[in-house]
Amino acid sequence: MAEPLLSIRGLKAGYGDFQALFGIDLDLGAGEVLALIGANGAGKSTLLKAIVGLVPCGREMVSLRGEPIGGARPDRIARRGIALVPEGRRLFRSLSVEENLVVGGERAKPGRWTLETVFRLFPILGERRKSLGTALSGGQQQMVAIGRALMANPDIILFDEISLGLAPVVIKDIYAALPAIVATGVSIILVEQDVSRALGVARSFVCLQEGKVSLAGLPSEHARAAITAAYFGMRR
Amino acid sequence: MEWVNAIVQGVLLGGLYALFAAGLSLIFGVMRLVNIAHGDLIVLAAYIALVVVQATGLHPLASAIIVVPLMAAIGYGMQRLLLNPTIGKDLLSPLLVTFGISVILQNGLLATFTADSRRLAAGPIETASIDILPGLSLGILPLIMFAVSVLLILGLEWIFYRTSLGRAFRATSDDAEIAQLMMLDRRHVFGLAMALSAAVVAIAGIFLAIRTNFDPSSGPARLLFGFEAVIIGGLGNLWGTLAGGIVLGVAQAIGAQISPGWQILAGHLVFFLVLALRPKGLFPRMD
Repeated sequence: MAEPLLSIRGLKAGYGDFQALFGIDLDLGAGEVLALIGANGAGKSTLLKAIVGLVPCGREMVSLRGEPIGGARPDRIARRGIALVPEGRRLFRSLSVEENLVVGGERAKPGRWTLETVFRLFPILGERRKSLGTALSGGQQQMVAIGRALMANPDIILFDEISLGLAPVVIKDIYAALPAIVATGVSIILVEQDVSRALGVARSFVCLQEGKVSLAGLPSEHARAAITAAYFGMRR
Repeated sequence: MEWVNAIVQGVLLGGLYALFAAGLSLIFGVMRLVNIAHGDLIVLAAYIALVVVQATGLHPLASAIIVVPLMAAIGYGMQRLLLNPTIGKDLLSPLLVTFGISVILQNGLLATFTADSRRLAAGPIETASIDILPGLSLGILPLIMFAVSVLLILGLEWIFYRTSLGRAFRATSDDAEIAQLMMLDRRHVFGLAMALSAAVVAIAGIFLAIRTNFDPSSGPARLLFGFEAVIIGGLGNLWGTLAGGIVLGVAQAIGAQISPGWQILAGHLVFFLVLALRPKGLFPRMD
């Protein structure tokens, strides 16, 4: 098998004295969509934060194209091509929609994602480009957050709770945009509460439970009951 | 006409106060840092201007060519070496560090330049004036200072709202953690913000040195005027800061017109009045 784009080995991380992750292993191939599932508090967000450098971890624990990047500064990891769409969107509140997008891309390498292509993906953002990002609806804010990540022309995008708190009709719009993003060859780790939806778009999945991998593989390899058991930590 | 004259002079003085305040406002806006050493940095810039003028024979206003980049470099270094390690944990640690810098600057200047008060002589321009109306004349130097203050605030506004650096400042101010994911090195962004603030401080210091006597202990009073202008105008609004400076300048000028002893007190009273009636300032930021 070819070397994975992103490789995580024995990742341990936490916040001060509190350890949230206990030796996570995970591989993400080029162009792969991986669903990261698990109950609240399983460590999904911590794992994403450790990958992008917002939570400290050991240098050898995270490798990108075989090169260790664990614990590097967040801006350096971003430069290497990993972007995060954070939980709760976290748009810059004093910046307009357009500025939020521009700030995401102005230090990045040029690529296929520009203001024009993001506005083509989410036309509503073009119409509201001068509005403050925080003046938009939750779904539109999520589009800005996704656009902001795309503007960096990353190789990997981590989506943290992509549909949390959004209306079903809006979630449909967001998911409708995913194939266009995947088609550009970007790899994705998708953290999602809606397991069925996540497994529907992902090639592979990793299920976390209390900071450890409880099940991993291809969705087709495992019975739904086994995935549910791994999700809730039930003995089978 | 005496009163009109006092008010006009107050407006012009307000420009200088706005300059004292602009750097303070910028630093608080970008990194939520209250820089207690701000006034002492203004005085440091005044002394650097004094040394530059004595060493090179440049006109005090022209000394800005050297003083501005030098102060910007000092500001950047101070931020990277002393302040960045304390930022983000809580508000108190950086505040205490700036207090320490203030003490060190005052004593360092005292040891180097003694407690004698100094002044920068700017030549005939100091006394030049134009008559607007009978009994009302405007000094050329106060006019230049006011115009430069307005231009600097205009420039800062442009940097903040029209440039990549300004977007980086605002993004970091809004959410420093997520801003890092936009490939922004927070330490460098904060360093640049302090450098910009120190560059404005350099101009303020040169104007201070030309306008009044200064000595190593002049800093805290300048810090106070700066704070008052920022609070009167409303936090996070540079045009509000200019307005705050003008309100403070006019209040002081009117106070001085009543009695010389009332000059500073009148400014403080207006500040308290604004704080009591409009705690967010006259022109708070809309968000």
